[in-house]
Amino acid sequence: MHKSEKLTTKAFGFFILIAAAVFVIMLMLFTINKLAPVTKSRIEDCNSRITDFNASLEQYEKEGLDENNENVKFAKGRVELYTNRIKMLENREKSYTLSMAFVVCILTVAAAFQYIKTATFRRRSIYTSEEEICGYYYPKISALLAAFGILMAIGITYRTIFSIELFDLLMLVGAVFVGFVFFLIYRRAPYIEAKLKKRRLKKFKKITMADILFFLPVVGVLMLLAVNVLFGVEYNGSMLWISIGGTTIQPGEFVKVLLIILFASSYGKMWRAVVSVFTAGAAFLVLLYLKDLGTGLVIFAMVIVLLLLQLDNKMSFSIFENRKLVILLMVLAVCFFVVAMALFPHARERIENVGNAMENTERQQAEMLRALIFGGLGGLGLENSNYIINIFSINSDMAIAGLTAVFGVGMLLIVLLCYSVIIVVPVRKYSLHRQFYFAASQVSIVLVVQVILNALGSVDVLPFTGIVAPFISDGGSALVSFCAMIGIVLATLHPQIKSLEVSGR
Amino acid sequence: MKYSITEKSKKDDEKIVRISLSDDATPSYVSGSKKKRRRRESVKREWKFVILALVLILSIIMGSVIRVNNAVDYITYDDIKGFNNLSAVITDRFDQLIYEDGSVNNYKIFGNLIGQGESIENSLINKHSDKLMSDDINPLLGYRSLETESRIMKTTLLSEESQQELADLFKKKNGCCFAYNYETGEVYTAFSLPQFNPNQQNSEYINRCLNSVYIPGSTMKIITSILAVAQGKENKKYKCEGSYTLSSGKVIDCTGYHGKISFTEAIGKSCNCYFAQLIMSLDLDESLELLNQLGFSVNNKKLPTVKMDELSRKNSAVEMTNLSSFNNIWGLIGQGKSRVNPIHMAQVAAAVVNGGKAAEPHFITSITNPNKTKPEKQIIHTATTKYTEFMSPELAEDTAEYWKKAVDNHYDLKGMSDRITYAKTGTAQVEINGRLRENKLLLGVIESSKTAFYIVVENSSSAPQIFSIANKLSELLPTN
Ligand SMILES: [Zn+2]
Repeated sequence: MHKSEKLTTKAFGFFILIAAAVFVIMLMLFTINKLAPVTKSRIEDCNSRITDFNASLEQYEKEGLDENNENVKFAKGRVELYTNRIKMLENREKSYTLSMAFVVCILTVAAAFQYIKTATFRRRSIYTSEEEICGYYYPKISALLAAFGILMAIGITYRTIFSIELFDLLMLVGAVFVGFVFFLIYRRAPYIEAKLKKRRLKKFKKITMADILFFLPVVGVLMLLAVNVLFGVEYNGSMLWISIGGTTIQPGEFVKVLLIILFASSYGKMWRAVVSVFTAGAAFLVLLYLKDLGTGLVIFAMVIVLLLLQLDNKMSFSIFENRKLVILLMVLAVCFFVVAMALFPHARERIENVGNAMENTERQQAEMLRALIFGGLGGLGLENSNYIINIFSINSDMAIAGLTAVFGVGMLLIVLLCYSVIIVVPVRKYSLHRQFYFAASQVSIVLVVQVILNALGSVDVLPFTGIVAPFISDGGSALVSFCAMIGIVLATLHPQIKSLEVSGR
Repeated sequence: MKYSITEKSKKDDEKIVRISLSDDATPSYVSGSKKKRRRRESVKREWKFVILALVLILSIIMGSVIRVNNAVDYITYDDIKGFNNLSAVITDRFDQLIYEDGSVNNYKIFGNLIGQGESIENSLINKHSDKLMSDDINPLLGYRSLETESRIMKTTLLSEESQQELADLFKKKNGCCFAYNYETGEVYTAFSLPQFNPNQQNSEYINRCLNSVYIPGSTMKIITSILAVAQGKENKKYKCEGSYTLSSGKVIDCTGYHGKISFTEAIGKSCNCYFAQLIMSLDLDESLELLNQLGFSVNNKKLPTVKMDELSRKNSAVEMTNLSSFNNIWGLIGQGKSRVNPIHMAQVAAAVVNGGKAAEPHFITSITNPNKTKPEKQIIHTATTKYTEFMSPELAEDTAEYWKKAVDNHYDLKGMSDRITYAKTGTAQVEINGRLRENKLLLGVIESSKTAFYIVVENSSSAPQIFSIANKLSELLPTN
């Protein structure tokens, strides 16, 4: 690689990150400019509601109803709700600006790191030259980070339409931190595995420490599911939430991350693949029982991809002489899926409901379709965004369609392109370490399924599965788990791994 | 952390690294042509993922666009109103508002004619929603191209107060009142009681002028008279002895003992015995043909739905298979299986008076869109007068002459205004909840204002009441 070429590729990675940062800033300025009148009208609306409820409270007092009366409780609750909402709306711009600034920071820091880190890498890794780092890894990592940043920024902007608080910013920082930790740890995963392979248990010589490490995610998945089943809080007709100290978390989201790690470390060993598939099967059943059809579908797709990868001969990591067993597992998985779908009535009902949303005008998909029609290709615009704020679960399960309804098809295209970058870049070329390729492909399939189900489920093309849009939807658990996935993907793209792979052979 | 590599293998490993960078999946030991082929495959494979991503993007966008496009058909007037907060306004013939803010809440008397969104299917709002809202959906801008000023539907109806005055005269009885100008087709009133109340569950959604048929009572005798005049059977006198026994042994009762009476007398006194004998003298085929021409559905024959300003009305129906059978005679006298629609009856009466033809009723004068700048583009819909020919002018003239004579000389119309030039009352026996009740009906024409009307007061046999409604109507009509 020539020096000029090196500079171009280096500059490509750098500029792509800076361009993303500029996009985020522009989006922020645009939004703040448009949001003010909407905020004003919503505050007025809340105030009038508070006046109404206060009036009826006075009425109740005259009637002599006491504190425990249902109507009194309801009215009081509503007054509190709208007071809080006004507080949120008054601070909305501040929270929004800070959150967006945080994303801009990530992007600029990443851009700056290109220059700092190149030097460090050159010193550290013996076999990877600066040219390779700049030409091969940095454009990939930069594209990935830029897409991630843009999606996060669009997500923040979208969620701001409904509600944003400083707590959401904290959640954002926390999620990014978790992602970074995952990146730091996971990039050493093959190394740790290789090291632990050599250590064996004293009593059972056959079992290595690596095998015990392999079972950690299995135990984690089963524990999360058990906790969910035992302590699940019913909400919106499904029991996907557990309540911990005032906030709720969704264990199902973390199950996905653990399964990715589990599937990735099952590369190369048949018994591990079998254990993984059965763990996934258990998770699938439990999630379907908890009425989480969406996550169930994601896990099913993950299993299929895992098995497909095991079949791929060309990849040179298909160590299975017994291809029949893999095919049998795949057939079993499909049968299992079909039977499970047939057994759970709520799943069947959702599938049967596809395509007739407009006949039942009350359904949220019908409301969404109307918003899309009224918005046209250009979208409703922020100034008309009040039209959709009351659609049920608009900021989570309907996020991609809602985003399109507000900002138009152009924004949908940007979002889908960003998703495509995150989905395609890590798996386009085989990364050198097989475990990493497995991990990256699992992350990709999770994103693919979630994006398709979220985008098309909310416009009545596919069954509505109540699945969130990665990086965009509201919900801390999902945000944390997707940041963790980004961390994993970045780890698979990390140049240091090259030397690891070499020593592993 | 340091990754230790032994010095010995360093050279070989570096080789692997270099090869892997350019062609990841190819191990170093693969050589020559095989290597080249694998490289080609690898390149193909890389593009496969890009193509898959494009397919993903396209399928999501196309899927959404197609689904949204299909959903456009389901968008209703209410949906657009909900989005735009702008509803059309409807005015009476004097430009007074009778519908605004998407509600007939305060204008109940018009309720089940004007409608409320989709809740009343056969209503002006529902049938003309495409003209009352912006239907030029801009695929680029969506409905942001929506209008800022309400579209205006001007109707031919009398003012709300006038109609309420008429409704008050029903004294809480159910029924309906239809009146229209048979020269222009303008409908003056078409209200129906009970009124539509959107705030009430199980409210009355049916407008009886449009959607109901009644047993006609003696108002049917006008139709029978037309048949008789057409066949030249009106000159014979018949004897009435208070009742008439058919050859089958069944008896037709009369309202009184009338003796030997003429055709005009029989109309005036509404003599059942006379009409029974008259009907038996009629020719079946000729009668069938004329009834058909008059717009009746004979013997359950399916007729095309009659539409006025997109509103459909029910068809009147008679049964006629054998003119000497009790059922058919009884039907043509106005009981039995005959059913008439108020609007249809008013039209036929108008045709009799108006030389055989009558204008088709219409409710809307114009629909305008004030959002357009050019005046000629503002007009979306204007009324056109169309005529229906029910009978020949000669037949109409002759029948009208007899009817007029009957009204002037033989009819007991105490309490009826002089303005009403033609009238025929009727009393129909109906069974409501197992109890025999009477409906009072009145068919009439007010020549001075070119108006034909049909009034039904249910569960009432009071002639003065129905006359008072007709009198009030005649006062309220605009005079030409
Ligand atoms: Zn008689």
